Amino acid sequence: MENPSGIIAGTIAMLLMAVFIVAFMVFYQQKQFRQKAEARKREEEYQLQLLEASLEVQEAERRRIAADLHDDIGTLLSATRLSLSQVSRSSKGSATDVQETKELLDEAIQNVRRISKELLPSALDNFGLVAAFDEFVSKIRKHTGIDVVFHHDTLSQERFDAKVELSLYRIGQELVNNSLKHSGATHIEIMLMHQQSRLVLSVNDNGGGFNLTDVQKPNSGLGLKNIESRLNVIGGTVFFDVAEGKGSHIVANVPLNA
Amino acid sequence: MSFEYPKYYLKYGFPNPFLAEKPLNILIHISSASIILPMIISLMRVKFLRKPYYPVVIYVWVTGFVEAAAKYVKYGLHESNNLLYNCQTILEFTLISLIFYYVFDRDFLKKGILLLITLFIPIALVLIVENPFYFNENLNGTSGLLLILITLTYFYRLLQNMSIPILSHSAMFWISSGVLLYFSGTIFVYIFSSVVFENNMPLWSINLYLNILFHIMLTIGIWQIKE
Repeated sequence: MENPSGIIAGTIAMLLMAVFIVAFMVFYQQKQFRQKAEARKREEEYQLQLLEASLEVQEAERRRIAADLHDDIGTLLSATRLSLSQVSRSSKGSATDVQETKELLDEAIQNVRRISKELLPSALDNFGLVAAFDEFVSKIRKHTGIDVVFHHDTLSQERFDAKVELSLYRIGQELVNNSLKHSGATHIEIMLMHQQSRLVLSVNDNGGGFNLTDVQKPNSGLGLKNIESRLNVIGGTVFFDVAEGKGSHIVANVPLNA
Repeated sequence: MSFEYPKYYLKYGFPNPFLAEKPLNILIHISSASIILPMIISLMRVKFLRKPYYPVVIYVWVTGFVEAAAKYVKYGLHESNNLLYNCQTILEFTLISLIFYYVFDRDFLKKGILLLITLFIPIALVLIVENPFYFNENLNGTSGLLLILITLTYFYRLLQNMSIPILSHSAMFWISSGVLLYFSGTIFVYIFSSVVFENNMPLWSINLYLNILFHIMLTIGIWQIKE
């Protein structure tokens, strides 16, 4: 036997095993990457579910407080006002004092109604986004005197998923409140558009604007995290076109098939 | 490149690679001495040792002592040291199998390894007692083949469990790869060993290179044993 069969076979076997080990490493790493990606996806889904649950709890709590305010305190205040009217008719107290007390009670009743409406936008539940924003804008105009306008395209009768409607309403509320509190704007414009399979909400103002990096820091108080969280839950995105001294233009985009 | 073997090779059978003469002399000694590397590293890692790695370290030290004794028998007593290497084959198979016995997570695999050890030792002892100074290539071939199968099973289980975060940081991965490369490369050389020597082909160098490679991989493996 002239051929070094053992050596050749041994070399081939060893090379095969070397290739096997390299292939094993590559395959192992690929499987590891796949598993990590799946775990990451599961974790993200879980976080989203947590977020959704927490927002739902928040909304439920708002509804409960609104109902309590409206049904208990509102009723109590109305009854107190009625009772005061009767007392004022039968007693000899100062008419001015009674009138002042009545006015204070009227104000308290109005405030309770306003707060409960803000907490529970019944127009949103009953008539949809356009009606809710119309009501919200007129209320803001009335209370602040700031020029707030609301534009929308032909979707006044359309209804969308309750979660989408509530999220966009809350986002609009948050953005307008930010403009009122922090920007010193004199003109705020809300636009709601239905574009193919998405809803677009934009809030523009002519205020002082802000530095996006600063407000994205934790505890900045602008509630941008809340906006992002709400949009995450419904698969939406937000775009900030802001700069200090140049007003703000913020656009939330929500896919309707999400 | 031909040379004559000492007469006692013919009397006692064909020698194992570690007994070959020129021109592999230097390589033989380097190959034998390479076991010192994992021996030293095992001393540095002794405080981190735990169950699966005891057999690795025992194997390294047994191999070191066998190499030293084999050199003494050959150069000091001028006798055949095949008996030592035959006995080492039994220890090698038992200790390497035990490493996998400890790392396997399934009972039937553990039992399978115990069964193989229980069958291998008496059969090997009978073969050695029959011809103690004959380097038994069948014994080596069988041992190598079984260890390759056990290692491949380990790799299969590893792929199922995905229990190692970074393969290159795993002691067991290096040790198993070393076992797989060494035994797959040497198994055919052992099986054909008589043919190789009959034809005066001192091509045992592949064994010697693989032996060095195996010891380097054992060294890396033992180095990776950490807390």
